[in-house]
Amino acid sequence: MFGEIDFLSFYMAGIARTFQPDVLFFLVLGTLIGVIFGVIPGLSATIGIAILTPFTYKMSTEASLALLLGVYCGSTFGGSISAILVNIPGTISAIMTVLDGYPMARKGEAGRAIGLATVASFIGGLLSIFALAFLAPLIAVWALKFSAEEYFAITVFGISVIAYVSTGTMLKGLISAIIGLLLAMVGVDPTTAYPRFTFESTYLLGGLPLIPLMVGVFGFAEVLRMAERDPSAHRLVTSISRIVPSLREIVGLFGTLVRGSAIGIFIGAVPAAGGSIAAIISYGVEKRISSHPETFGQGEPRGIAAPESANNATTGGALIPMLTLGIPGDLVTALLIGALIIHGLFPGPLLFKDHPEVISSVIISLFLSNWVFLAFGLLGARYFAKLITLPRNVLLTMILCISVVGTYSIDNSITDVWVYLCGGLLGFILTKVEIPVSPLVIGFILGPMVESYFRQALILSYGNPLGFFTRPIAAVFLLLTVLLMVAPYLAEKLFRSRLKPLTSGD
Amino acid sequence: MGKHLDTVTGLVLVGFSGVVYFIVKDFPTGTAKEGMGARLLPLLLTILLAILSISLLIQGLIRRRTGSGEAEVSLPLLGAHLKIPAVLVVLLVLYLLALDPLGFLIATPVFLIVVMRVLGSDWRSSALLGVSFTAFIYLIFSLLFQVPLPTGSLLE
Repeated sequence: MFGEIDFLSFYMAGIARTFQPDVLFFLVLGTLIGVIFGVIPGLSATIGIAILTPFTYKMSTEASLALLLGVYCGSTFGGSISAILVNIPGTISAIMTVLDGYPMARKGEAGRAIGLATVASFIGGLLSIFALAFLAPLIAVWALKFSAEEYFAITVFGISVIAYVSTGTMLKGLISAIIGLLLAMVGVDPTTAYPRFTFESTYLLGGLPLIPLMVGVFGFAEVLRMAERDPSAHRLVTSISRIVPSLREIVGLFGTLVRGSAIGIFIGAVPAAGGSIAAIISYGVEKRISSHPETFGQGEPRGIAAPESANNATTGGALIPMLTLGIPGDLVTALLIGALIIHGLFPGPLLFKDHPEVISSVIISLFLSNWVFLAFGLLGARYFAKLITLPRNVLLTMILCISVVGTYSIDNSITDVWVYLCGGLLGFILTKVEIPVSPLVIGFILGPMVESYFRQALILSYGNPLGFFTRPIAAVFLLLTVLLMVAPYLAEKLFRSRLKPLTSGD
Repeated sequence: MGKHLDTVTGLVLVGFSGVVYFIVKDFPTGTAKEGMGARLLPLLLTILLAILSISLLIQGLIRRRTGSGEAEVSLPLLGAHLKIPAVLVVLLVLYLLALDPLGFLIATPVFLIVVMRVLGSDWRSSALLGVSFTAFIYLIFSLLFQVPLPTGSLLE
């Protein structure tokens, strides 16, 4: 297919369509809104795009896409700002950025962390666009060969990675993840429609809603945690200086950035795997291959560069299956498909053939959006951050208010806000008993997928559990999962026998 | 309490697994055509959770914990400092109950002002922020995003 397309005229047409005043205006606006939505916990690209899509009826196709793609890019980056400054991921793809971004901020290096996140996001996004532009056909074709067994194995592996990298022991991480998976099973069983854990409630038939739960578990719990402390203890970083990282530092992180981007592009291209999974795996990989894994979680630059390049790289990656096959790479691309349909365009191979200028405009808009948030981040992070440097009382109240109203606005449902409240209590209690919270949220998100793949695989193998191991890719990932779980214990056994004489009376 | 944290948590989780098992065991077992029904995965997870919880319990009993595994300074489990978070939770509950009858424009400023006061602000700042922020949110969500916010049913 690509052999028939003249690359030059393909991109010239796209440039011509994109460099129009209205398209450029909405591109910048979209990116700005995206960063703001990203920074504010409780608001995300999903909400932003969902709310803005109806407004795009009257806009040109390219302008609509520019607006929404801008929100997509901007928010993936914006989430890192609040992750770094207040330990709350602004969007779920920043879930790993808190681990090293926040400690770095507490050390007084918030500017550096934000600079790293900005540049890492930019590079991740840029590399992913090149991949999109040139690898789209290849990657999409390979991903099509995946079946339920592979998806199951990959998602289980992803969950184990999170349990591994989260604070606390792997045991607690797994416990947290399983609780999350169980919470995901609240609602109607997808295949047999049997209501599970619904306790006669119609609301629960639809399952626990994701965003209210996440905002509660991260946002409200953090509000409670902050409220617990002595008012005089300043957990907020107020000075942000030296945002632009030195060229030397970036070059030093070259390997991390390329690895992260590669992971992000690949994960993004796998349908239904998104920025958060890429960030998690990238962080885990980086920590695993590091010669000083103990620095992770204490403010290690790689701990920011890896997940941030990975999550932004999923933007380009996720568009690969979406544009070439019409399969959403994540929730956001699903909404983007909706936006295209509004304009009478159906993504897929036909779109490549009949309207190549739209595809090329998408690629170029994405490309430009990355530059826009690079500028916002490096030049204006201070202003976005100001949103967070308000006095503690004001900040807590604002976070509380915005997250409550933001949660409500998803579905006009006060019940959603009750979920938010319960999520907050849950998150708060878990932190108190030193069980990590991220695995729970990830387990919850991946839960429906895990179950769906699990059961599909069983259907395909007529109930034979060995079916998972007969397919090589699935078997590999499952093996890796087991290794991941066992490794800490093996390592501990080894170290314990060496350290015993050194510890005084355990 | 710190020494027994894992033990207590493990115990609670074992209890939790038991309760969940009690619910899950009645789910219908399915056929291979249905991917083994609604029961299989929850059951597997519950069993796994029980095993892990028992491990945690045992770990807690064996290792008498000497310190926290987290980078953060964690405050003791119970104490007077839980007062403010507890109050915030109660306030949120009251706010949610008041939203429908009183509506967004009345319940929210009251909520925000009380929260600010609880967090230590003086009356002036609280009132200022409460009212201005309500207005700001109202403009953005209700007018710009056209999200209908609760109107007071008591007042209609």
